[in-house]
Order: sequence, then C-alpha cells, then structure tokens
Amino acid sequence: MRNSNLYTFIFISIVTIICAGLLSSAAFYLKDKQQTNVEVDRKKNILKAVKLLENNKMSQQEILDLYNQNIENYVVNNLGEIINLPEGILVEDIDPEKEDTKPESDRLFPVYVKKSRTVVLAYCIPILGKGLWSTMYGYLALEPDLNTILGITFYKQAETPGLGSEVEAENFQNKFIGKQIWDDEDNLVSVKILKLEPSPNSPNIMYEVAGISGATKTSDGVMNLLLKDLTKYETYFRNLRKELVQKEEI
Amino acid sequence: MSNKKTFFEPIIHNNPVTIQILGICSALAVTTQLKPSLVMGIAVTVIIAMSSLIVSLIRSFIPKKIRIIVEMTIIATMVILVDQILRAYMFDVSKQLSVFVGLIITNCIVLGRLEGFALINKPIPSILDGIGNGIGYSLILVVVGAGREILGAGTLMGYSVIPQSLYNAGYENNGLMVLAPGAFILLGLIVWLQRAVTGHYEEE
Repeated sequence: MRNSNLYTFIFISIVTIICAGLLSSAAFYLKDKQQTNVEVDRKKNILKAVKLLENNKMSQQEILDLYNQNIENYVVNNLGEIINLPEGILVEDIDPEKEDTKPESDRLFPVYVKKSRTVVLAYCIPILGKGLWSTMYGYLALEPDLNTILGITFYKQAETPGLGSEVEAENFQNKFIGKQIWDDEDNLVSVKILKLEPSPNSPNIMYEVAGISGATKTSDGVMNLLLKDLTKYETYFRNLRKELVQKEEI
Repeated sequence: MSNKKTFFEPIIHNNPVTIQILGICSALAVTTQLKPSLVMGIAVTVIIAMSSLIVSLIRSFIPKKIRIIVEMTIIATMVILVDQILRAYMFDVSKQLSVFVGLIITNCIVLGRLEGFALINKPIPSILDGIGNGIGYSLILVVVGAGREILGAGTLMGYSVIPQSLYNAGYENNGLMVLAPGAFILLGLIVWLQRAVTGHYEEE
C-alpha cells in the first residue's frame, strides 16, 4: 500500500496543498507591512539623494516626517508640462517601470523637489535600468541649476555581490557628486563611466567618473540608464533652465 | 545516543561547518558583518529545527521513493516563510542578506540533517539535533562575521571598536577581509585551530 503510486500521489498532493496554503496566508497577512517597508525605503533613498538623510538609524516615522516636511512632488509629461493626477493617485504610486511600456505621449514622469518655503533646493528623479543580472533602481538628485549632480542612490539591485553590488556603496555614489550633465553647447551629455579614474587633465572631467573595477557591465548599465532617464526629462529640464536664464537676465 | 549528546555534539565536536565542511557558500557570503551573520544563523537554526520536527513527525508516512522531494518541499516552505517574515519585520537585514535567505534551501546542512537524522528518529531528538546543528553553524558564522567586521571595517554591529588613536598611529582597515578571500582565510584558520585542539582528522 505504501509503495503504490496512488498513495504516493495522494501523499504529495496533501503536502503540496498544506505548504501552498501556509505560504499564501503568510504572504497575505504580511503584505501590508512589507509594502510599507518598501515605500519607506524609497522615501529614505530620495532623502539620501537630496542629502537630507543625516544617518541610517532613523526610525520609519522620522523618515516619513522628514520626507513630508521637505519633499514636494508632481508629474510631468513628455512635453515637459506639469500634469494634474486624477484624485486618489499619488505621485509615489507612479511606477516608472510601467510608464516605460506605455506609448510615449501617455507617459508620466515623477519629479521630487526639495523645497525650503518657495525656494527649490534640489530636483530628484527616479532612475532604473539593466545592469549585468538585474534591473537596478535608484534616484538621481540635481542642484537647482539642473546641471550639477547633488547625489545618486541605488536601493534595489541584484548585481554580483562584492563587485557590481558596489553601486549601492557610498564611495561609488560619491564620485558622481559635482559632476555635470549638460555640456557648453547645451547638449545633454549625462555622465560617462570610464574603466579608469578620469585623468585630471581631461577636458571632459566634469562629465566623467570611474566605474567599478571588475564590474564593467554593471558600470555600463549605470551609464546607459542615466542617459536614458535624463533624456526622458530633457524637455522639462530645458524649459526650467530657460526660465533660470531669463531670471538672471532680469 | 542521549538527547544531551544529540544536542551538544554538532556544536563543537561534529560541527557541520568546521568538521563536515558543509554550508561553506553561505558562510562566506553573508559574513562581511556581524549582524547579517547573526540573523542568517538564527534563520538557518529555525529552518533546520522546524523542518526536522515536521519530517520526523510524518516520517512513517513518507513514501521512500519521493522522500527527497517531500523534504525539499518542506524546507522550501520554511525558507520562504522566514524570508517573508524578515521582509516584514527586518527589512534592512533582509535587503543585506538578499538572495542568501532563499539559498538556505540549497544549504546542505538542512537536507543533510533531514536525511541523516530526522527521517529515522523521533521528534524530540530530531528537533534537538536540528537546533544543535543550527547553533554549530551560527557559532562559526558569528566568529567569522565578527572577525571580518573588526578587521575589515573596524566596527562591530556598526559601532566603531578600534580607537582613533590606533588609526592615527598608521593602522589601516584590511580591505581583503571584506572580500570573499578574507572569509576563506578566517574559516581556514578556525578549522585548523579546532583540529589542532581536538585532534580530529579525515578518515582515509
């Protein structure tokens, strides 16, 4: 009886059903908590990109308070116009990954701004793209001139541990600070990632950083995703930069 | 074998990592710092104990032909459960452990204990054996994790432990300790030390 195929079949079915039931109920009951964690983590990384996060030991509530007090957000379309979202939809709900699959004219691009009263102190945009093994997700923050990089973070990736996963390390991210994304002729050049440290005499040193040694594919991925995502916001940033120039002339 | 022996033997004398050289992959991967090592150790201990208990309870019903499949199903369920709980309550640590929580499924210590012990023993000894092996594994992870964090980053649980005066005197953190070879070296030293003390040697 124990050796019959029927017994084996019934036994494994029961085991599978019990295990599946256990896992689905765990997933169901823990889902809310997990989603909150993911959201707080994203907000924490926005704060980190705009240099508001003082340390890593803040509680979830402190992070949310800091975020709510300092960060405003809105979405723009591919013509660079600010769009009002239908009621009930938050900017945080816009998933840049899903937007990429829509037709170009329907895409929405979230913008997070760090403000002190009415003065904009930083612009922050989500960035994402393929590395070697995984899609990397992060944020890029620009100074009010929309040219100088204020900070970059990656909060989710599954690159090679110890090599590509260094994109999450601060000493890699700090290399981007102060680099510029527009050249003298006002072309969007983004940042180039080289294999070696850029030479101090290079005319392009403002647009170059060194990649991660041993992780060329990941470094190339970061370079490509930066250009790709900055291009999405190009029209909007150009408009803002024109306004800046006009203000200066007045 | 007495329950006491079942529990204590795998902690030192038959340690799964240093004597049986099992579970090395995860022992190298997660031990850059003490905290993830500790969490990984606890996770593996819970998973071995729970799966041992379950397999031991249903051991007389498991058809011989599919016993490995049944064991794997139970281990996988436990691992995913632990992963979900970590994601809900210890998000930062679960991010740090990333794929290695999922990879507990392939940790040979877990399947080894189920095959070698829980399948032929009663529930109480099985759970003790599971916890004992888990603690034996955790012990090595914690020692390697603490060593790598102190030597590699100069911190312990994220707090600085090496005085600034030592850095001023020219001391530097050892970058090799943060990489996988650092774990290999420390683990090798521990294995050597233990065998030198206990006189254990591989049978020909």
